[in-house]
Order: sequence, then C-alpha cells, then structure tokens
Amino acid sequence: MSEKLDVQLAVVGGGPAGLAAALAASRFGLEVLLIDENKELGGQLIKQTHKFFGSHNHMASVRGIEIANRLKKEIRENSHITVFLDTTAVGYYENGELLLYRKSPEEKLVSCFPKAVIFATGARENMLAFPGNDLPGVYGAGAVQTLMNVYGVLPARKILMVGSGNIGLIVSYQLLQAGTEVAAIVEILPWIGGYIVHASKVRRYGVPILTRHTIIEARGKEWVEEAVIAKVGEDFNPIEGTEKVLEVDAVCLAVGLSPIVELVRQAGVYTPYIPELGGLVPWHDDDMRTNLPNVFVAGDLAGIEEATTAMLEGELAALSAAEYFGVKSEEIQKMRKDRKARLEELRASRFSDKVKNGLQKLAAKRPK
Amino acid sequence: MKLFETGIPDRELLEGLAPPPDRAKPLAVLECFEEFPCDPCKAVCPTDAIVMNRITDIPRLIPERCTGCAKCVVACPGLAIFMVWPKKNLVWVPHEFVPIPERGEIVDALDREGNVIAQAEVKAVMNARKKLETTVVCVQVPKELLMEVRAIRVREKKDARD
Amino acid sequence: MERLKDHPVLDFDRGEKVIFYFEGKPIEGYTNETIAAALHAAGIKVFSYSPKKKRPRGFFCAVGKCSSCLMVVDGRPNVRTCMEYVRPGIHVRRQRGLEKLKGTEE
Ligand SMILES: Cc1cc2nc3c(=O)[nH]c(=O)nc-3n(C[C@H](O)[C@H](O)[C@H](O)COP(=O)(O)OP(=O)(O)OC[C@H]3O[C@@H](n4cnc5c(N)ncnc54)[C@H](O)[C@@H]3O)c2cc1C
Ligand code: FES
Repeated sequence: MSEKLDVQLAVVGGGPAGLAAALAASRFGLEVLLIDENKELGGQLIKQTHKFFGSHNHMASVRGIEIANRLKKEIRENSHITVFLDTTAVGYYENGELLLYRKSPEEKLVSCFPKAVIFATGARENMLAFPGNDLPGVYGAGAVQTLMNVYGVLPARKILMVGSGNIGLIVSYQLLQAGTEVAAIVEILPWIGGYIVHASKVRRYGVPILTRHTIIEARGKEWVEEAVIAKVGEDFNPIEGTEKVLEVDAVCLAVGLSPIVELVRQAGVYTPYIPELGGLVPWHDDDMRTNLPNVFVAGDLAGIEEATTAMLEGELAALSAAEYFGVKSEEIQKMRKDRKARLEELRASRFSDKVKNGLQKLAAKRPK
Repeated sequence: MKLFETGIPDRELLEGLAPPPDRAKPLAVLECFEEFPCDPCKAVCPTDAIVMNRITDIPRLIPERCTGCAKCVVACPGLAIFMVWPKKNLVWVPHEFVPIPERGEIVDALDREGNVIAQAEVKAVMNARKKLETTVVCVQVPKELLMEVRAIRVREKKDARD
Repeated sequence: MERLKDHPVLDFDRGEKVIFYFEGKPIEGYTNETIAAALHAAGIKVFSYSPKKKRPRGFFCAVGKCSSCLMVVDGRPNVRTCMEYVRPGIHVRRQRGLEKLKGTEE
C-alpha cells in the first residue's frame, strides 16, 4: 500500500506561494516535489476572475486565472519540478517523514523524508456564530467562488453577503457576473473593509452596502429560506427593533481567514497566536525561515495577505532553502534584496498596517 | 465622507473631474479616491498623462496630455476609470457582464448607486470578444447625465438564452 | 440550481456528461465536477443529517477543509464530496450521523 520516495525539497501547496517557491528553488538547482490536493495547480488563483491590483511590473491588471496559467506553464516546462496533484500531505512528523495520500493515478500512501520542506498550505475560512449557521445554504466565500468559477454552477438565486472586506466585495461582484442577485452586503464595522473601488463596483449595480449591520439569524426548514439582519450599536450588539428579514436562498460568509497550520505544528514549528495575521501562525523571520532549520513557510499560511505578497514570500522561502542546501551565489543576495524591496513597497498603504503590526509582534516572539 | 460607508463617491470628490464642454477629445475620468498599491493606469498611459510618485499614491490626471485613448479604462483593475466627451455626449464605461450589447442597441444607463437614469444608445464596444480583457462600452446619454452614468445593463432579451 | 451557460470571463470544461445515483435515483453530472457541485446543480442541498440533533447539513467550504459535506459514496462513509469527482454509476447517499466504516460494524 505504501511507497517510499527520495525527495530533496518538498513544497506543500500549489497556490501562488508554492508555485513561486518551486520555480525559484529550481533556479538554484534544487530538485523539487510540488504537492497539491487539487486536480489543478493555482490555489486561490484559479477562482479569481478579476484583474489584480498591484504593480504593473508584477502582473497587476492581469486576471488571477491568467496569473495561474502563466505560472503553471512555467512549472510544466521545468524539468527540476515534479508535480503530485490530487495528493494531500496528511502528516509531517518529528523524524522528518512527510506522508502523502495520493488519490490518483491510483489510491496509495507515499512516504518520504524530504531534506527540506516549504509549506504554503494557505488558509481556511472563518465561521461566524449565529442561529442557523449550520443550515445548508450558509457558505464560505471560497465555496461560492469554487462553485461558480471552477465548476460553473450557480450558487444561489439571491444571496446575502456577510463581510465587506476585499473578499466579500469581490465575491459579490463575481456573483453578479454569474447571475445571482446580491440582496445586500452587511458589515459590522462603521466603514467598508476592502478597497473602495471594489465597493463602488458592486454599488453601481444596485447592491446596498450596509455598514454597522450584521446577520443575526438564518432561517429555513431544510435549507436557508431567509436571513435576518439588524443594525448594531457602538458595542457591536444588535439593536432591538432594527431587524429586517431578507428573502434569500443563501448566505455567504466572508469574515476572514485563518492559516492552515496543522502540518507545520505537527513537526514542531512554533505557532504563536497573532490575530493581525489571522490567528495561529508559524513563527518565521523575514527570510521565511521557521524555528526548524529545514522548514520554511510562505503565503497565507505565514499570515493572511495577498497573492502578490504570497509569490514574493514564496521566492524568499526558496532562497533560504537554497542557502540551507549550501548554494552560494550572488544571485541569492540580489534576488533577496529585490523581493524584500517589493514587499515593502506593496505594504506601504494603510491596508497593510495590520499585517505590518502582526509581523512586528511575530518578530518579538522569536523562540530562544 | 460617505464614500467609505456606502461605496458611493461624495459630490465634492467628483468636483473638477468633468471635462470642459468644448474639449476636442474625450477625457479620462479617474474615480479613484483611496491610497492603495496599484499602478497599471499610469503604466499603460502612452502620453504620461497619469501621475503617481509612489505605487500607493492616488493617480492624478493631466488633462492636457490625455488623448482619450481609453487604455486606462481597460487596464484599471478597480474599474474606476471612465471616459467622457461632452461634445458628442458620450460616456465610456467598463462592462464585465453577459450579454455584451451590440452597436445601436438601447441599454439601461445606471448611476453610481445602480439607479436606471436613462435609456442610452450603444455607440461602440471595445474588446467585445476578449474574455481576459475588460470590455468597454461607449453610450450616448443626455448632456446633464455625462457625469452620472457609470454603468450599463443590457435589458433581458426574450431570446437571450440558448 | 443551474449550470452557467455563458460567463463574461470564464469558459468551462465540464468533461463528459455521465449518470450517477443519488439515494437510488439517477442524476446527471459531469466528470470534471465534484459530487457536491453536481448535486447542487441538481438542486440537492441536504447532504447529511447531524449525529445528535439530526439537523440537515450541506457543504460549507467546498475545498475539503470543513467536513460539512460528508456523504456515503459506494458504501464508504465520510467521503468529502466537495473533493471527490463524479464518476459514472457511483451511488451517493445522505450520511446519517457518524456511520460505521466497512468492516468495523459489529
Ligand atoms: C475572493 C478573493 C479575492 C482575492 N483577490 C486578490 C487580489 O486581487 N490580489 C491579490 O494579490 N490577492 C487576492 N486574493 C488573495 C490571494 O488569493 C491569496 O492571498 C493567495 O492565494 C494566497 O496564496 P497561497 O499560495 O498562500 O495559498 P492558496 O492560494 O490558498 O494555496 C494553497 C494551496 O495549498 C493546498 N493545500 C493545503 N493544504 C494541503 C495539504 N495538506 N496537502 C496538499 N495541498 C494542500 C490548497 O489546496 C491550495 O491549493 C484574493 C482572495 C480571495 C479569496
Ligand atoms: S464542504 Fe468543507 S470539506 Fe467539503
């Protein structure tokens, strides 16, 4: 049933962070095994139909799906990278064993002892507590995106969006594009969380954005038939008498993400709780090294941020891995300087204050 | 500022963006009011009419340099750039929905809140068949609505499906 | 629900159209769809009933991370139907609570 495999560098997760990491590592002669549990590489990117923000020399104004296609093509053409799709990394043990569950071409367990691992497992969506939140029809934003943008299935006829961060705003717009009516976007804070241009974009098609509002209940017999929203006071508690019932067949939650840390924790990576970065995050320095000499992290796993920053972090992680393997090259220092400068540039606006804060807190928690 | 609560730009933000009535060419209207890292509009402008010092700056337009080519309308990831030409009563808006209208078709013209404020004739469609690009639709609207119309909706045709 | 016919940005490669079974009844699906997506397209939203209170459950994350979509596929319980693709002729049924693995029944 189980098979053994010789691996130099394993990259777990084939989103933008993992793809960029694998490509950069191969440039320095490392042999890479890239693992993703989906049938296709790209992670979140394969659902992003909108054009990305950011710097024009780093793929801004290109749609996420297209960014994924470009990276995938490079990976395919790279002889130093072996790709295992439909494969879940199910365990990473203190003795250095990485256990893989492959579903295709045939179902089997594969055991390997990679000399180093870059983890780029991304994030999972947060839940919100309210009565009826377990009814069918209450979906995470990623689920809605997967359904409509990967499988081409209409998620709902009329939906309530909870959360006005970039994800809530972008997914609302994508829902309109697919043909779902968006009854409203509710946001508990007094202001919109995401980029205002995204908000204006959905508002223009008639979607009300209700700040200082939250969902208080989802109702229905077997699935969601209506959602109750209400205004909140200064204490964020619902104000009695302001309830409104919306006739919707789905509720979409876009209330934040948390890093998927199970695997790195198993191996003994220190994961302090840093709310600004999404919760428990693997401790890492700004070269994406963890407290274990041969384990590196990148992307949303290292703190919830963006695909643009995830790719830069992936490259930084690869540089550190190359050094771990004893590669000495001026190119490493040059690339490192350049990628760090770009990260700093991307993190210059107020939207990154939280992340920068979180990274500072993380730095202060350096294990002895 | 209501913009940050509603997504609807306040009147005062729009002041000074409208082109003069006798302008010879269309003018880009940049409805981008917030600092965040993004610069493709500046990068695609062939005449350097869009200025930003840092990637997080709010882009500023130098009207004298703008030739009305609409490259920035297509490039803006936030769909926050439009083009207006008072002389011919034309507005260009990004349109990422199906169906894509045809020239000569009458469509609903929407304001920044999604209200239908006019019926408008489609005068031109750019990038109609390029899915990875942003389609831009040029419509003719009453003069007083040039700075109000910011989206279009194609009316349900009976035989639109199949 | 329905499958999208036309999308402003995307074209869908659904794969081959096949028949599989939900609670014994034939359902149309495509080989590039997960079971969860195909069921949703067929208007089926309840995938299981919770162990204690028997509350209806559907999928939540659709990316294999929450276990809200567990169903019994070809007699095998606890299959994440949001990660499992449609294959011709498979039998899918609603899971009721925590069902026993094959071979572990008393
Ligand atoms: C709606 C939305 C809009 C966004 N818009 C933008 C934008 O405009 N610009 C921008 O820069 N960013 C945007 N982002 C953010 C961006 O998508 C993420 O920050 C980015 O994808 C993170 O990359 P990642 O590689 O860390 O993780 P992911 O893309 O999540 O990839 C992680 C991969 O790892 C796989 N994986 C996890 N665990 C395992 C395991 N045990 N075994 C095998 N594989 C595993 C996952 O299945 C997944 O494929 C958006 C996100 C969303 C949801
Ligand atoms: S819906 Fe979350 S695991 Fe399938």
